[in-house]
Amino acid sequence: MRSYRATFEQVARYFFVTDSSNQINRSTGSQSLGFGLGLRVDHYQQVLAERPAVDWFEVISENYMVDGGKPLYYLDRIREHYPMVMHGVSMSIGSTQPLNQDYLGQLKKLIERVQPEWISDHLCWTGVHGRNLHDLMPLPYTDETVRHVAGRIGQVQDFLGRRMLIENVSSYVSYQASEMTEWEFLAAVAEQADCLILLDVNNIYVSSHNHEFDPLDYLAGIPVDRVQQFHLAGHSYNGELIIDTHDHDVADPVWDLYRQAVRRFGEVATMIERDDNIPPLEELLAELEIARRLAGQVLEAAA
Amino acid sequence: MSGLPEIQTDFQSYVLNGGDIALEHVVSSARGSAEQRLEVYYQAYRLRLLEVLESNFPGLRHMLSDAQFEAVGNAYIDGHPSRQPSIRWFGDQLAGFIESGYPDHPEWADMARFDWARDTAFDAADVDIVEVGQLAELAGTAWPGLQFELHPSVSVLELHWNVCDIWRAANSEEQPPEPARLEEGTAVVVWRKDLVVCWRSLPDDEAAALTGALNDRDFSELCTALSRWHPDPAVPARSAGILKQWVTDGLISRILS
Repeated sequence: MRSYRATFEQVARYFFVTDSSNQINRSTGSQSLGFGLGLRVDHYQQVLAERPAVDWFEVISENYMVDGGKPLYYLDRIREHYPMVMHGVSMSIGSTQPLNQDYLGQLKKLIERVQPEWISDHLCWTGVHGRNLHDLMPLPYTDETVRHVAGRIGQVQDFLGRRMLIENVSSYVSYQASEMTEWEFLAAVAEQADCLILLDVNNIYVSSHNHEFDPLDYLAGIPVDRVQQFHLAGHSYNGELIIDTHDHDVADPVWDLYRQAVRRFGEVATMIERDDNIPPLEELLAELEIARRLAGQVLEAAA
Repeated sequence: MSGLPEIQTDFQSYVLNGGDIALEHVVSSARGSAEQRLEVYYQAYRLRLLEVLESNFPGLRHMLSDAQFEAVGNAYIDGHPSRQPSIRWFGDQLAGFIESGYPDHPEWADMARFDWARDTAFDAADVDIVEVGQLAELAGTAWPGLQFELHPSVSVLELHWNVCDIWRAANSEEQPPEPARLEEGTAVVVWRKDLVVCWRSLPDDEAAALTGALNDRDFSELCTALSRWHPDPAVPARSAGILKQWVTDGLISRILS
């Protein structure tokens, strides 16, 4: 398995490195980070001991907003060996309560520590009236919401002194108040806020099933030049609805959609997000190889 | 058409309390009615927070049956919605909640206190600790006025039940003892050394001295506290022994002279 992987990497490097136009991410003009994984506690020691062939790690920002101990110990040591991006779950960018300045201060402090390639959070809200529901609640797709959210992303980007990525979430409800599709909403927010997009391919698939739209229409509606990162993950069925559980392997229809996404957006930093039922690291590495292989095939065909 | 503030208020109200106020905002389709769709969020909210309580309170989770833990957890989730950006702090008031809400189960509150002290020690700030050699360098005249800054992870608990033994057995997958009320030795110190969370029982005299140190009492005051248990000639040896133990354990981060 290991020798096969090494061979494949050499092949992949040949494709991606010899043709420099392939290595440039069309969206931002910057190099793609390649293929990453979400860093999880279960794998800390193995990552440090074995330094697996992962191009980068994504860390959940909130998990490291602590004073010390194991989380920061492993964060610092793993950061010495891998590029990182930071992914937040609590910015509540779509909430109608004021942005939490204390949270943003902690985020800024963590950014200084990690020096991430970029940071992201979700296009959602997580609570109002001082509560935090610790869930990614969907927004109504209206002009009012676009203006509201874009203004707040602007505030965050000004405060942090850098652009951020916003990610589409899986949703189980759509609102009577919505005036546009989700992809029109995401594109409008990104344009108005002048921010980048973390496109979660699994979330597009889940929401397309739950709200009965064509996921290819979604991809076609997203501006190519703003997509900086892809997420891939697994999901589960709950009756007629699909739930974004991140506790399974990436499903076949999501791989199909990923191919389509690579076709449209080019070589974009891709990672697998596993949050529950965490398998051995080797399984995630093997899954990441699938992403690498599929993206390589699509890009090769397009070259 | 409803505006964003009203939609969010109603949606949150549904997630926290149920009812039908949010139904009017949500579209029904063949794939799911408005109620079925909102229900996904209602259930996921409780499930997620219950999982967090399970991971923050492994001792309590072990001590309670599935049904008991679910009942206590859901009552806490309903009574103490989170106000923190990080889910790591969810459960910060669970021990007090159990103490007042379940007076027939004081052992549950003790275990929740112990679990939370471990959680707090786990990611408390990293600071240097004092080495034994540093004590030797102090001038004899300085000793009475010494104050001891303890490592940020240190806490002293008063526990009246054998919850530490239950925790230890459960953690090493042994058959834990039945909950039993302790006759004596009820103080426990919890702290982190390097990356490992540690704890040990404290004899009454040491507990009084450590509580004194936590409250900025100086060395002479700690010796006075010890004289409640020891005749005056025995106090210096006992105080030196205790202090050396604290330094060896890594409880002291700074000596102020």
